[in-house]
Amino acid sequence: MKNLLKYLSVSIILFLLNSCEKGFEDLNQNPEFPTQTDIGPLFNFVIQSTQLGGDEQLFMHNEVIYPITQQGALTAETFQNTPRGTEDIWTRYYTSLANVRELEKRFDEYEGDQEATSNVRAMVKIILAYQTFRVTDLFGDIPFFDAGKAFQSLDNLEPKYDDQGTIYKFLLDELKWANDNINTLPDPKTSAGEAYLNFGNFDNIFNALGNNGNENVLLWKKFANSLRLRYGLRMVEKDANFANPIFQDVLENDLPLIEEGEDVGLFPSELDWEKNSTHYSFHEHKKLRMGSTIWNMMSENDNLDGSGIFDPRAFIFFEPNNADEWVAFPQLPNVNTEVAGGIPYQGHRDVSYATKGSGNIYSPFNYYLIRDRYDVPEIMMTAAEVKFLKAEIYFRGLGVAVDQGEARAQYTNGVVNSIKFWQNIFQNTNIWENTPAVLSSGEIFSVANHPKINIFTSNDQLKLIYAQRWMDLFRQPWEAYALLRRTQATPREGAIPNYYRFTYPSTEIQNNAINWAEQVARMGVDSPETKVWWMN
Amino acid sequence: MILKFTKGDFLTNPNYNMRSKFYLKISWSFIFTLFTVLSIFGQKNIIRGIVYDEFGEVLIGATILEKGNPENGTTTDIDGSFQLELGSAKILSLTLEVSYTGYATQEVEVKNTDPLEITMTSSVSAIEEVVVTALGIKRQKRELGYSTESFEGDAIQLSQAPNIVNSLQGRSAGVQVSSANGVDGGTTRITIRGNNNIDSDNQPLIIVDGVPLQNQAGLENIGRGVDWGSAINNINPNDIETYNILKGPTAAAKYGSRGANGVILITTKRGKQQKGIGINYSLQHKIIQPYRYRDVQNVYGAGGPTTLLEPTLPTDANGNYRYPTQDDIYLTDGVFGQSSTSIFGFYGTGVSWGPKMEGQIVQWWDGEMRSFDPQPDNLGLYFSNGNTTTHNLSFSGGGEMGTMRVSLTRTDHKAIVPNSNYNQTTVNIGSTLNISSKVKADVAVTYLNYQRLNSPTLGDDHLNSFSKGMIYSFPRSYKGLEKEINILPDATQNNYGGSFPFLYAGPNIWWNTYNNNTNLDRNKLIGSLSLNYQITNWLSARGRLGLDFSFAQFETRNNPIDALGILNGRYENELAKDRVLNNDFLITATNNGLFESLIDITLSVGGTQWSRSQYGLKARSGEWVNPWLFNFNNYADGQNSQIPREVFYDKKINSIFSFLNLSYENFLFLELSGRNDWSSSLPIENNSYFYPSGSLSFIATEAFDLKLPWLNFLKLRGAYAQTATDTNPFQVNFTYRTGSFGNNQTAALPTTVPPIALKPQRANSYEVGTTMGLFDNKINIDFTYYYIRSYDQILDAVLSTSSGAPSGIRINTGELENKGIEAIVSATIFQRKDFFLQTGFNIGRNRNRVTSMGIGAKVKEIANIWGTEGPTISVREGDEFGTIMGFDYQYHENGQPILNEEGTHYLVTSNRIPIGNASPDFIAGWNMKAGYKGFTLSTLIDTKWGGDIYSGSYVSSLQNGQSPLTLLERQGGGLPYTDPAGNNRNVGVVLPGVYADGTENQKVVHYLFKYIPNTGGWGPFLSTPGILENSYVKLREVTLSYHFNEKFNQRAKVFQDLTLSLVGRDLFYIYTSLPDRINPEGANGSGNAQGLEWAAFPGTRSFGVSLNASF
Repeated sequence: MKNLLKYLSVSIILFLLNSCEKGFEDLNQNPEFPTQTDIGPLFNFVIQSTQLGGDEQLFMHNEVIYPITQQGALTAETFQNTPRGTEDIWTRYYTSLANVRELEKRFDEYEGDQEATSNVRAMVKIILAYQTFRVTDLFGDIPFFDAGKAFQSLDNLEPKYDDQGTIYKFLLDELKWANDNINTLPDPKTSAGEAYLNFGNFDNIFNALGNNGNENVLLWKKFANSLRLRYGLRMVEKDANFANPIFQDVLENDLPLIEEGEDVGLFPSELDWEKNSTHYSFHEHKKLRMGSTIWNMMSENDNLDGSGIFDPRAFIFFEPNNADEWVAFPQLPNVNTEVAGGIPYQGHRDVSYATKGSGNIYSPFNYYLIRDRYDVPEIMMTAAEVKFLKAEIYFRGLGVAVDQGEARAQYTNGVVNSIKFWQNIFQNTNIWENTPAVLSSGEIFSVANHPKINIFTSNDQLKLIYAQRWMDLFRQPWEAYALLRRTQATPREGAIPNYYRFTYPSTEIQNNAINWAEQVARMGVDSPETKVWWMN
Repeated sequence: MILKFTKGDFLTNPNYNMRSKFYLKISWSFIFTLFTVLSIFGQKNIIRGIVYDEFGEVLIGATILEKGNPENGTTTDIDGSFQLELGSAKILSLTLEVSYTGYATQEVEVKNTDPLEITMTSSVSAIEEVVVTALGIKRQKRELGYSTESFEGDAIQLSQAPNIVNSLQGRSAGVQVSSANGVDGGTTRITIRGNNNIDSDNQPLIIVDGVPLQNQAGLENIGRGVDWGSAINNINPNDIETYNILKGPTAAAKYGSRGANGVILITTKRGKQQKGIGINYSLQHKIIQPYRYRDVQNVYGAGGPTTLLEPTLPTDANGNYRYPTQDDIYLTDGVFGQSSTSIFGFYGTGVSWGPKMEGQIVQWWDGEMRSFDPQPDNLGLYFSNGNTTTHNLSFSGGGEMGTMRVSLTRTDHKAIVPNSNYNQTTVNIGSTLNISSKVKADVAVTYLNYQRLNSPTLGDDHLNSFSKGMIYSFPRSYKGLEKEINILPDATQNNYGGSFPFLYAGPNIWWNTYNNNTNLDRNKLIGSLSLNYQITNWLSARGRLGLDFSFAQFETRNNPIDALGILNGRYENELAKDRVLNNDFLITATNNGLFESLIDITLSVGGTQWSRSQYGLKARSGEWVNPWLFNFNNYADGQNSQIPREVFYDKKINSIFSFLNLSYENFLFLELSGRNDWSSSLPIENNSYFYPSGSLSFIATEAFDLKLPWLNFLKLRGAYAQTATDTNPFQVNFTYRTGSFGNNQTAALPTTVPPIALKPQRANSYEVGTTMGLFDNKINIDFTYYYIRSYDQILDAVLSTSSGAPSGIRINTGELENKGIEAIVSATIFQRKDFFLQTGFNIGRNRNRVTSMGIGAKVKEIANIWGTEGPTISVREGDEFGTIMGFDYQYHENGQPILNEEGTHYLVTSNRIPIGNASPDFIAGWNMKAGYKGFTLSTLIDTKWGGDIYSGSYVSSLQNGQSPLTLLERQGGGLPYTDPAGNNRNVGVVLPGVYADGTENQKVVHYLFKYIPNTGGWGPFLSTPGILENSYVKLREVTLSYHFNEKFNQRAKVFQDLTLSLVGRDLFYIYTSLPDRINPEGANGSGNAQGLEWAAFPGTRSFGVSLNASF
């Protein structure tokens, strides 16, 4: 009867049938969004995704990482909502990864000469490596090879976890591929004469430096090699046989690296981007202050008037308390430590700068540094860091011969580069009013010669290299966290807490339940106390 | 002498004898001749009579048929009288069938009385009534193979419920109405036979005069929001003739996809011939009283968990008491050597762990000296009585040409919260027009204008939620000073010099209430026009055009707070138009006595074209530069916030359908239907889908000619139906997200994997049931068992973020089943001319199971109240719909919860796990109706039994020391405890549980540890203590009416009819399982997530009076 009815009904209005679906396709077209796009806008999205999330900064950096690295000190207990931070970075990364996969797919499906995709492929590999290293360093093993592929196939909906060592080696190989395949000629063509694909103005990392055309790709090449040093060094204690040839390749072949003025990051003013997340993370979380550890790296003594400060970065990173005095919060407070308070990060300081609140008895982070929405970049890698990387490699003779002289030179240049970099930031900014004096190059060199940080007179030169790299990483606390975990030798007071990683986000535990359980079985327990692969 | 035909519907009245119709034309002249002869021949063959209702009032328009010769019939006139010619038949051997909507059809043996007096009794179960079924087709209820229930509009109107859906609460088996938290005018949730959709709407389709009404919820978010109500609030109860509830997909199969959750059919009034001048006036007025506030302690005032000593007020330099500031409430060191929040976790400034309120003189936070005394009424500071007044004037008349009714209604409502009200003006025209003997038209048009000023903020909101403020921000010593001082003499906002001590509910609630105004102005036109053409005596056709058009404007004006008239000024405007067209046709052929047999057959074929087109435009001003200028252009240089946002929706469904009714004699009825839809929202290859239904009913008492004294009617029925549902538009084609970064475009994949080959989701439903009439229909019993399996659900299956699609994948997956029983018993206990007593009881029990979540994760969160910092409502594979997930105790293998070594904190699971379920065990309603002379008293009691809620108000009230339960130890009812200063007081507790090694905790700790870190609230807390069983029994409604008798009306010479009524609604809970007078009906919003309560408004009751007069 069912069929009879169906055919009866259908036959009766057969003449209407065509009109039954007439115009449906047009009607069902979403007027709000485009149905196609090019690789440029996709790449721009991936770059945009490298932004730090507000919750990552608030709940991971400010509440957990700064106190561990002792680049800052917490005056009171925290919200302890770390999962909100991990959820933030996890979502940002994997959303970006899906678009990286889309780009990779488009390159694979490119109908012309595959060589023409070399430069854009390399750029995607580099940004992917940067993002992936950041995430795996925080969590350890993560889903990677099968991850971000939900849009490609229904077989990839529940990605399994990959071993961090495998991810590291894969990405370092990819970075080498980038170096080997990036064509830096002004108007590159394939051997068949086909023009290379490029991202044009959609490359918002190096466009920001005012470079045009294909000049950017050289900077990408430099970024790739600099990353090879950073991450090669991170795994060197675990697998020197893999890491050492990287240093050898980069340094002995004199491959291009990030140099002074080529610091990599997102520069809001260049991007017409109003960066609010940092201020959010500080005004929502008011407890972070200058700690005694970093204070001791920048000042000869504890004079309240700051007369002991020798490192000008003190004036950039921090500011005096409500009484205009320089007071560090003790990294290891005791019962006699005075209770902190105050409102040094609230927006009222835009109009009432001096009002830090009566309880603000310890030096806060510099309000301008955390409030500025236009001129303080989100840093990915500075030229100074590259110098410190080279200093360590030469000092320890990793893949290259030990060269103390070169190490010391790189170190000193690193300090100088770093001070210049930070000095440039406040020099370029619009909102900083009572900016510190600008030091000349000579004055900056004399800072590097200050007995406290002079490598030529130091008893523990390697520790100084770590310390100054740690200083330079002031606004990349996750990098300082990795440095601490690897070297156990960054400046600090007291023991290193056994907080080695972040636990996986709760949505991952719930929504990728089977693979998470397998991962936990492999690693023992999903706890901060479980070391990541490259840690000893 | 005129031969009158039955006014029954030609199309569907199976009693109509088709064969004789064939001879009709031919016999026309003969009949006339014959009648003329007969009329001369025998006056005795005319029967005269009067039909009364149970109150002795005449019934106009009752149908009188000659039994066995249904062609011969008439209706009563305006005096309730009729006369019927009986041809050659002998009067005394005759039986008449007398029927009237809402009354039990009677068979009356003709006696030798003139006139014959017939008294009709209103039908409680109405086994015999004629009901409106799908597509507006009237059928005898006795024949139906599926369950429907119908209600008179008048009874619903009398209840003065906030809207017509609310008025159905407790009246219908298996129909669950959830009155959402808030004020009158808010959204109400209604489900029939449980939840059948994981991701999409579970509410039934509402059809008004054949036009499907768009009824989107005004608030779905249960955590927070402003509830602007849904379109159902605009339906005017005064204009409604009947409601019919078609339960489950069986009956609704004919409505296609949109009827899959059941259908509520509303028929508006059409006018009728009546006595007098045909004017009817009614007035309803009710007062809404907020009365049921959360129970609180009124002994201890403001104070944080900052000391283990006897709490005291802080003092100033001179030793005088001052009101606790935020710094006093959150100590960073104190006796613990740590911050109080690191010991106790997060709590609001509403903490009332301070000293006793004993009238101490305290310097208040505003600097004034005030006494620190109990404030038992401060929960009511924001509330006052509301009221609603409705006037309705209608004109009604009828004649040979047809009928007409014009109605004008005005409703004014003042809410129980300040600066909030609405009004509605409705014009309704309902008319039937007899264009010719074969063509009839039916027109219904409703135009309404609805104006609503402000709707209160519900649930969690830092700025505007007073209810949240009273739990989380304001302590028991709160005096509500801001109510008076929120505005300074120069009309600017008072910021209290920065001394405002309360956090988490803003200092500006009062300011915002009066100065941030949003006005909704909605114009709505619902119209339907249908033409019925009786082409031949066996073939008819009907065409209908239906329109539901809404045009709404939301305008927000936030007054600036400074003297310049700039700061925080805001202007927003949103225009939305929504147009639904629903056009259909239906061709029906009937043949009674098919092939000379006892089989009657009706075959219908029809088609529907439904389309909806929605467009919205919304924009706002930026940061102002021009004072007091409410427009989009008011923005500072460099801003672009005036760029408008748009909303689109376009969908069309074309359908054809056919149904076949077969009946054998008068006891076996079969109905088969098939429908094919083409939906624009599905991919071309899957956008055509067919679904069938069938139902069979068997009236055993007729078939076997049973004449048992106790059983006069027995019907067995069974039905099967499939429905198929499409989805929202704009999903089939892949689109990219776009934005901009670095002055360049960005494009990204969506966060949801778009559907690849979407197909309709389907539900198969089965039902069997029986209807019994006992003791001459004095007791009627209707029982139904149903089973519904919903599969191929279109949902956003949850994927792990690491898949790259954090919002999941839209796909046909997942499966649910619902099964349940519905029982309705109605009984006429006593019935005499002057006195009657009737009662009815209905119960519905639904069991749901999420049999499969299909692809992706096995749990899908559908709502939460505190983001990741609290419980959620989720759909979880293997559970019933409505799993409450939260942070639970960690249990030792001996079953005891584990505590830390100090015995102060329970260990909590690191992830949310199932801790409760919101599905009720059953819902039921019981009504009684008694009448004596003109008085009628009726009561309605309803219950929801079983099912959990997570009550955020309850746990926060414990945490903040507001609940009376927190008094126990503070008042010395605890265990001996030595505080840090060495004082021994009976304020200790031992938290039940064990240490990690399994040994029992015996450590006596301060009472603060019992309540603050271990009861719950926002933050990384235990959720389990907030799970409460939520059962209640409520006296929903009591009405008392007096119907003035005819003598009075005749004497007064003004009225044709006059009724006065009193109604009390939502009077009180006879039983509730919740502690602290937590509102059992306090869930916000009307989305699929029910079962979380947070910061609910007080319970309200209303008292109303109404007057109904005809002239």
